[in-house]
Amino acid sequence: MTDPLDALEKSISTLRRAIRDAATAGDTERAGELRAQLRRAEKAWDTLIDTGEPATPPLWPEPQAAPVVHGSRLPAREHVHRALMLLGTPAAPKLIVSVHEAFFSGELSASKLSSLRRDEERSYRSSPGARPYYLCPALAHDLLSPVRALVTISTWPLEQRIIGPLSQRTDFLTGTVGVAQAVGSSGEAATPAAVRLLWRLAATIPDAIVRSASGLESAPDPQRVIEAAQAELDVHTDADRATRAEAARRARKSLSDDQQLFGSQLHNVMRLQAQRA
Amino acid sequence: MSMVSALARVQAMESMTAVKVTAFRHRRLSDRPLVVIPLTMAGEAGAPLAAMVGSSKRNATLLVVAQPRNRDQRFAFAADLGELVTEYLNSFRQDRRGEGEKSRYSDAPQLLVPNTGGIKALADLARMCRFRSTTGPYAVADVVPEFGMWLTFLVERAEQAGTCLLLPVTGMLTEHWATGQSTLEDQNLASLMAWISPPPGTDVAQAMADAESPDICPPAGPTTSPQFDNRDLAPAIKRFDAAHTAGDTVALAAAQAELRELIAEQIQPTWRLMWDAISLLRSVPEAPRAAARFGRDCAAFTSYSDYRDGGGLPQRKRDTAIGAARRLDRLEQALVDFESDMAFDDPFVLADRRSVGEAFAGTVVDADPGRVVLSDSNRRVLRPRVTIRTDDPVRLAAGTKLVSPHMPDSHKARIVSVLPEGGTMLVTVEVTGGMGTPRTPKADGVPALDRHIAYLPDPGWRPAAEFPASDSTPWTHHSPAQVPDADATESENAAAEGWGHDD
Amino acid sequence: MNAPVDDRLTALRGSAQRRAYNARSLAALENNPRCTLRALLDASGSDKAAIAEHAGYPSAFGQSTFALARGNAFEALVKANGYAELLRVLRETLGLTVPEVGNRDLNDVGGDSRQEIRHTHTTRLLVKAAQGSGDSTLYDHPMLRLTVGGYAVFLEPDLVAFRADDRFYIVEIKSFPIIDGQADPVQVKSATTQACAYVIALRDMLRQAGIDPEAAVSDQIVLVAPKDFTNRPTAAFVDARKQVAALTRQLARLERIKDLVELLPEGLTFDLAPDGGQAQRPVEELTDALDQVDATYRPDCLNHCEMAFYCRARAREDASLDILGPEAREQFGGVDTATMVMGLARGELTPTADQSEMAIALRHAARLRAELDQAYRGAA
Ligand code: SF4
Repeated sequence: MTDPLDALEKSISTLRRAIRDAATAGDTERAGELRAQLRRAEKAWDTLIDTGEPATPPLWPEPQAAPVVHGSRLPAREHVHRALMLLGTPAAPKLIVSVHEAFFSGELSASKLSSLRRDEERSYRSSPGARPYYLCPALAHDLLSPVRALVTISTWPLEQRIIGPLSQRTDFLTGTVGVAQAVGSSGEAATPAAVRLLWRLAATIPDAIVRSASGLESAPDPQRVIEAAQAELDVHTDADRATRAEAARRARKSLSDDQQLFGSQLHNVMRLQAQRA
Repeated sequence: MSMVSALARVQAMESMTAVKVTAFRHRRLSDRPLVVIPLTMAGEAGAPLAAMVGSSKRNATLLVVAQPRNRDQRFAFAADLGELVTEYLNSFRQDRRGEGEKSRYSDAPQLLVPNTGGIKALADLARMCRFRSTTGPYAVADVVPEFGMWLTFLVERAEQAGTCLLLPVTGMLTEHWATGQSTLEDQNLASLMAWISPPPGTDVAQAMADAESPDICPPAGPTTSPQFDNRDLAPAIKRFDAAHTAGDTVALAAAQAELRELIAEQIQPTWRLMWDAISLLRSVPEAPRAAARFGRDCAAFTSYSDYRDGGGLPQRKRDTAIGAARRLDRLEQALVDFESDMAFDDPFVLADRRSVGEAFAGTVVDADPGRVVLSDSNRRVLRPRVTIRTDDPVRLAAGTKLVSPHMPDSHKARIVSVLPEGGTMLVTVEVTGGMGTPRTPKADGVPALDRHIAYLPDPGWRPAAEFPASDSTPWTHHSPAQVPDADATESENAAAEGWGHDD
Repeated sequence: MNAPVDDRLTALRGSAQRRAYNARSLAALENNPRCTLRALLDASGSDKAAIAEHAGYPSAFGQSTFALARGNAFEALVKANGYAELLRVLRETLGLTVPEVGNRDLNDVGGDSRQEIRHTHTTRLLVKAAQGSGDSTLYDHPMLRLTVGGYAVFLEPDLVAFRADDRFYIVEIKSFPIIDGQADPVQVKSATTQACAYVIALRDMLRQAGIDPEAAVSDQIVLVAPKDFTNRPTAAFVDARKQVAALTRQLARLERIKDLVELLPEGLTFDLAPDGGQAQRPVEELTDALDQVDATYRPDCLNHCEMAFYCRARAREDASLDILGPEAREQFGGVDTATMVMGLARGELTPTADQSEMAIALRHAARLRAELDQAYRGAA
């Protein structure tokens, strides 16, 4: 049934009929059960009428940043910047949040991060260069359009902000090296969250985690993870760099300064495509 | 499906009411069954949402997982349910009789779930629990693995035909009643009950329609209706999560109470139906041979109890090749035995077999009770012969060994010939057991002329199939080294779950 | 497809918007392929759910938000961190080599997610890959196209993997678990049937580019699903050869829809609002129209077709044995209704020549049941 209100009204009338049947037959137990269902349906109907929305009123606001947090008062964009610097590569919001939680204090949520991203471009356009850095999307190597799923820092060279076919893998490996180094340098002080993050990232890299004969996995050894990641990186790096460098050259030639940060818009994409065709 | 059972369905369809297909209830029904109604969360494997449990209608316990995606809450639920179920199981470990090999508990537990989906949900829960470690970073309560192993035992036992430690109530009902709908629809407890015993004041047609309306009859689980999920459950869980994150204890308690009430309302109608079904089933007399089968259930329960007391290891994840072959053999034999038991006890089931020519009944038209032959060892033995005229389309070959529900248990016979005559069949059988000797023939050892009698194939006793010795130690005696799956990779899985639900 | 047939189909649908096939409705073709009513409703792009509802039998299909959310979350997890988990499992199952990590996100083309644009882009990249000059292994949400009954249908697999041995593999990411190496067979089957449509569409695309389609696209599906009760993915091959063949056959049947259309009475339509606007066609008129077309109801329809409650009610009204399902039905070969069965059983009807054998067995069974009824009357 397409309209939820219609569906509810149908439910309500079905229930009323069933209640009548049960009551007539003197079946109080069943009638009681049905009345409870009727109350639910009516409540849902009321809510729908009030809000025009399905009955999912967040009685409590979504958990936002708590007012006081572990002594850290940095603005969210600083948190993101710090996490990205640790990784040294473009990253998805989820990974940024994980890195943040593993190594830094302060509140940062994925939803906060996405609203942040919208602000950045607006702020840049109103007064370009007013801030020392901006958070911007990565750029697709072929169309130079924004890859909104990945966040980068404006101060990074274009080559670092462009995503070619191999870049997600090289970035992942590079990022893992970054995480492993951070875990390694904090030694015993590494938080459980940090160790878990490293474990999770390393588990997908060949030979990064020692498996004992019984199949038991030990805690990740940062040095070993770095070596394993590096070994795979060596396979991809040259090809990846070449793609990114070529795309960066193209971007510098054909895109304006702000496009080099926030990507080429669609009409430009079409033009580019037309040119190349 | 035989012609007789198919016809029963057509009769039900025509008369718009369920019809009987057995004279007896072939499963023992415990005086104190434990009804378990498991609910799971859609889209999530082995994520329990709730369970209503209790051994009498008035004594229901509702367990709810407020956030099924949360691993800790899941195992807290498993521990609570585990406590209840193991306490129930243990209450049957009181009265033990017999010595040595024969020693066993005199009664056994019985878990009843609404449908086969309920068994699957328990199987998943069992698998989720039985390898859990009670120490280390992902420790669970002691009862959790114990519960998992017991549940696994019950689920495995339920695969075997004729057992009654764990049963779906829909299955028990359809064994006795045929409806005028499909077997698929019979899986729905409410529609099945609509045919057998529609709510007062409602006819079958209306009751059937109501049974499929999630408003009137919430599904008996394990999955809840999408309508309920989207309209009621999702918002309630969301409120719980919000209160949880905000650390607001008052709101949390309120959200929890609301969730409980919501789920109680969903599960309550099924709870009532379960007990209605149980009292309906009680009104059906129990088949004579059900007691002997129950004895084997008691033996199995006793032996697994002892194994658990000895600190036995959890059941394997998957059988070895030999283990699987042995299990299959056991299941097949049990099925043959059960079907034969039922046909022996129950004229309805016998009629089923008769209609396909696997059994026959008729009138004795010729009898030679004093027939004596020389045996291979040159002894004079009594070998009476009788000829039975039957309307049944007999398909049994000469030489088939027979038993009869109408003769003493010792009576055995063998088919000599099957000859069509007119529209009927003449079956000549030779009595090979229970007839006495030429000197002292037994009075009731041979069916008399003009008597009505039925015969069916003797399922016989068959030696357990031989399997290679490498695996021949009983599964109860595996040394730890032979059970590689108690399991190293579990720790990896536990860890994976630890970081699993982070979305 | 020729114009008159097209016109007839459009007339069947009437004023409603055309509903395109999707992977799900294509997969449903495999169930009950002989049903004329569904073939016509689907081929004409009619809205089965709306029609069933208007006829007074709303369908019970709905998806739980939990299942949806879980499905999406699992796919995201598998593809997160540059496809890290996916690469791990594909290295294990497909034997991907370490250099094979290149990926293309085909969810949009520079922010444009229109189907046609994505399809063009997908075609360009996949053909290039098949010709040996591609740069990637993983193609995320490619947009494929399949012609069904003369209409283009866009299909979007979770992922296509291109291995160095020059073969494409359809990768289906599903959130039902593989527990101890085993998954629910019903769910596996529906996942593979869906994947079959992708195999066929991808093969079509390559065939048009002059590439040998059978060699280039494997009919082994890679199923990626959670391992046991964790969130960690694992993968397994599922052989879809038979299902690909079956679906191909069903699609070919759809091309012959002409034969079905020609048998329809003039002026037949399932339009709910012949005068435009609200769905206000008299219910009786609609059901009359529906009743002019053969439907082969079976209980399995309840799991697959939006029309099921309607068709079931109709079958019940006709006392059709279809209600009971094939196991019961096949006992009464050649007889269609309960009324006939009971008539033969009571000896009120004379069986035809080819019913005679069945009728003997039936009367025998009826005698047996009558004896039992007599003996056990009253109880229960
Ligand atoms: S429900 Fe009706 S229309 Fe749908 S496939 Fe079955 S018979 Fe055909």
